[in-house]
Amino acid sequence: MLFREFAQHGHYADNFRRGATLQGIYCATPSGRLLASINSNDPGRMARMLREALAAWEQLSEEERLLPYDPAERSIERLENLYPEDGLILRCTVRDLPRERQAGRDTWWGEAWNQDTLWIRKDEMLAMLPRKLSKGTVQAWPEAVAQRLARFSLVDFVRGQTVAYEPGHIVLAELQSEVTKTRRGKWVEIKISGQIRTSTTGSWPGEGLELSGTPGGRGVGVELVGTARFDVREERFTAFELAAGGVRWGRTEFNFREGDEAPAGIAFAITLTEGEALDRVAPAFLWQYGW
Amino acid sequence: MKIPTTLVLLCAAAGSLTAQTIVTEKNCDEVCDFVLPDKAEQRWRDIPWLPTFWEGVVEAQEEDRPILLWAMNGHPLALT
Repeated sequence: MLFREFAQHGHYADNFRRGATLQGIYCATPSGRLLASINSNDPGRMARMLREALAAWEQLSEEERLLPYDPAERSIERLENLYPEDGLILRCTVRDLPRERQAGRDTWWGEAWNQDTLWIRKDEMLAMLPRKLSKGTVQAWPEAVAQRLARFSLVDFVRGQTVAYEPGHIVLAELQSEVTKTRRGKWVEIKISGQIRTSTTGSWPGEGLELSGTPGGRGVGVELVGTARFDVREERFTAFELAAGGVRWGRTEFNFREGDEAPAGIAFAITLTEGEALDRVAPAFLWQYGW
Repeated sequence: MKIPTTLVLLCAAAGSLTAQTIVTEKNCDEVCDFVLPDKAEQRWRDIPWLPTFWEGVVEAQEEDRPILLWAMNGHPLALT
C-alpha cells in the first residue's frame, strides 16, 4: 500500500490509473511521500533524479518524512518469508555462448548476462544426496528439484525477463549426484551430471507489446556437469558449481530475442550464494513453486 | 519443434568456447568462469541493497533517511 501511495504520483502516473506497469526507480520517504522517480538506465538522468530527490527530502519536516508508527512492529506477509534458511540457496547466472554472428552484437546484447536465484528446501537438498555417503554411490535428484531447475532457472533470460516453462514443456529433466570423495563423518565431494530439455510449440509474440504472434516455439537443451562439497555435520553445502551449456531457440514477449530465434548457444553457471542480504531476493518464479 | 541436437557438438578443447560448446567434466570450470560476472559487472552489489521494500522502510524510518526503490517487472536482480 505504501508503494501505491507514492507510485501514483511518479513517472508512470498514467499507468497507475490504467493498471499498467509501474516499474522504475523511485525515491520516497518512509512515510510514503514521493521525492522523485524515473525509469531509465542512463546514469546522468539517474544522478539528476537522485539530486532532485535529496533536495525534496531537505524541504520536509520530520513529521512529513517519517511514519507515525514503528514499521518494525508490523510484519508483512510476503513470499520472501518462505526463504529456506536451512536449505540450499543457489544463484543461476546466464550468458549467450560466443558466436561469430549475433543479432545486436554491437549493442548491449553482445555483453548481456543475467541472474536469478533458486531455492531448495532442506528435505529436497538432502534427497539430492545418496543415503549412504560412500564413494561411488549415486542418487537421482528429486523430480521436484530437477523440474524446478528446468522450468524456472534454465530459461532464456539473458537479455531480459521471460516466462517459465509449464510441466508439460519438459522433455527431459534428469540430474544425479555421485559421491567421488569422502572424509568420513565430515564431508563428501560429489559430481553432478544431467540433462535438461524443454520445448514448446505455439506462437512467438509480436514486436513490442503486440500480442499477435508468428508461428514458432521456444526451448532449451543443455547438458549439466559440476561438483559440490557437502558438510555432513552441518548438513549444508560448502561448495557448489554446476555448469550447463547447450542451445536455446525461440523467444518470449519481453526477452529481446526478436530476430534471434534460431537455435544458438547458451550457458548457465549455478553456484552458491554468499548469504548476503541481497541473496535473500526471491527467485523470479517463486510464486509458481507451489510452496 | 524438434530439438536441434545436431547443434550440440563436442567442443574441441578448453579455452575455445563456441556457440556449439557442450559442457563436459573437462570444460565445466571454463564454462562457469565464462558465465560468471567479473568484478566490474558486479559493482552494483557494492550498494547494500535490501531484499524487500518493507525492510527498506524499517531501516529508513530508523535512520531518518530516504528510500531508493528499484522496482522492475520480472526479476529485480535481472535485466528487464
